[in-house]
Amino acid sequence: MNFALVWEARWLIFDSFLVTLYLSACAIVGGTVVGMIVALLRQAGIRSLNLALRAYVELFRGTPLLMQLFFIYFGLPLVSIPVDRFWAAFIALTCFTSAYVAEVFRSGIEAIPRGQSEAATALGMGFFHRFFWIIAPQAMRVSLPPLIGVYVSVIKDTSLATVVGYNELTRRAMELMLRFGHPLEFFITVALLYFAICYPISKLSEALERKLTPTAR
Amino acid sequence: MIEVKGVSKSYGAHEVLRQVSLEVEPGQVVAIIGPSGSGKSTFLRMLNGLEGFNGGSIRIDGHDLSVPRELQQVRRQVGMVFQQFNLFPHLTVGRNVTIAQRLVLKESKAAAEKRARRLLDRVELSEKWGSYPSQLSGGQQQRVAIARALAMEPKVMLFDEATSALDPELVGEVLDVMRSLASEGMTMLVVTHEMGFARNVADRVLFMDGGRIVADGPPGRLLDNPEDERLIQFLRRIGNHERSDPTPVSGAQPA
Repeated sequence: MNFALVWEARWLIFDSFLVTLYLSACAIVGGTVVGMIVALLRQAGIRSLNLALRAYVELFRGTPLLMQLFFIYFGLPLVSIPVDRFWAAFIALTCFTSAYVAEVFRSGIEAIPRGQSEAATALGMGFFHRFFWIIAPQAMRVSLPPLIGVYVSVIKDTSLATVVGYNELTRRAMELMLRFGHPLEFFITVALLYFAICYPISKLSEALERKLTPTAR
Repeated sequence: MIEVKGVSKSYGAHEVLRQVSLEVEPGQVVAIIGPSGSGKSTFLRMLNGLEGFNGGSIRIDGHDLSVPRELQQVRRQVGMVFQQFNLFPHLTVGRNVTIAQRLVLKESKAAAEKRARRLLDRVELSEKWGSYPSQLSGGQQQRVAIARALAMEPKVMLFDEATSALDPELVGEVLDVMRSLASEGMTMLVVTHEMGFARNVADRVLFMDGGRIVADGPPGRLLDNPEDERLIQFLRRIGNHERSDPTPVSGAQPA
């Protein structure tokens, strides 16, 4: 083992570590926003819209993220939508994440008793008032622990952006390995860095779950 | 106040309500009794649009329920209290009573809170303002739910088995609030199993069975000298031997 080499390359690794954090943050924000919109629209109960949204969710949950990355990176330019490496990774991860987030929210919403919506309706509240003031806040509470689970997966899945040549942590490790050898040292370091992000978040999720469960009536 | 003409409802081939007609005068207190599955809850839920109906017409204070724009008007004038209370668990008691005033009636925060405090005072729960529903007993939750409905200043109040989910010792406090509302002239439709309430508070009792109103009249006549065979059987089944209201009258609260 020769970790002196890793130490030599520490700034290169740190630089790509920030890139991974950045891509993760973008994908999480994008995926959450899109996922919430999908979940909201599914509540509207319009048949054709529901069908389309379900197809969207199933498509992105039912195919490998790797394929999605390829399709977006190579496919979008074919229909004259230029995407660079970052955008390809960002769009693919956002779609992929949003499909899972939408499902988490949907089951969160379905866990709220019907009486909540009925009581709000009986008080004269319309669809948006009901959703944003009564249903969503309660669904959020139920959804938070599984949502964080999705986020942890996303952070790890950013490593797949390597295949479109986006310069995140995993790709940097591969470059360094190809140039200097010593694959184990580099990959152990990178794995530890992923762990350093994901582990505290998982712990946070567990703490939240403990905190939220007793008050959930 | 309420005008129902020939209303029907079915789920597929199953007919829940058949040609129900009813007129209720302002200030009338109507108890609706009947076996489960007789359509009484469905009928009540129809009166504020929680259930749709297939035929006939419903007008409440002149508003036609089949017109979507009027439906919103109707809901503001019709308060509803549910069997399971349905308080919003993520909001404090105070917020439960103010939220619809703020969002639907567009009241100022101060005005909404003033009204909420007055109503919570009336149901004797003003000290629970900052509590969450899960910290309250069932009876207290139901009283908050009544205050929440009253905060919209409804002209009609619907009670859907409001005491059925309560422990027996908590039923009285909710009935007391309902009784005081009735004595102040609120128009009320009450689906209930509390024969004492039907007998002593209601002006009128409806007996529903098989999706129809089978008998309709003042409680004395209907409950003590029933003529309809199904009503006689129903009363026998639920044990109509309690001749008096089982809950003590603890003084109606002034508004």
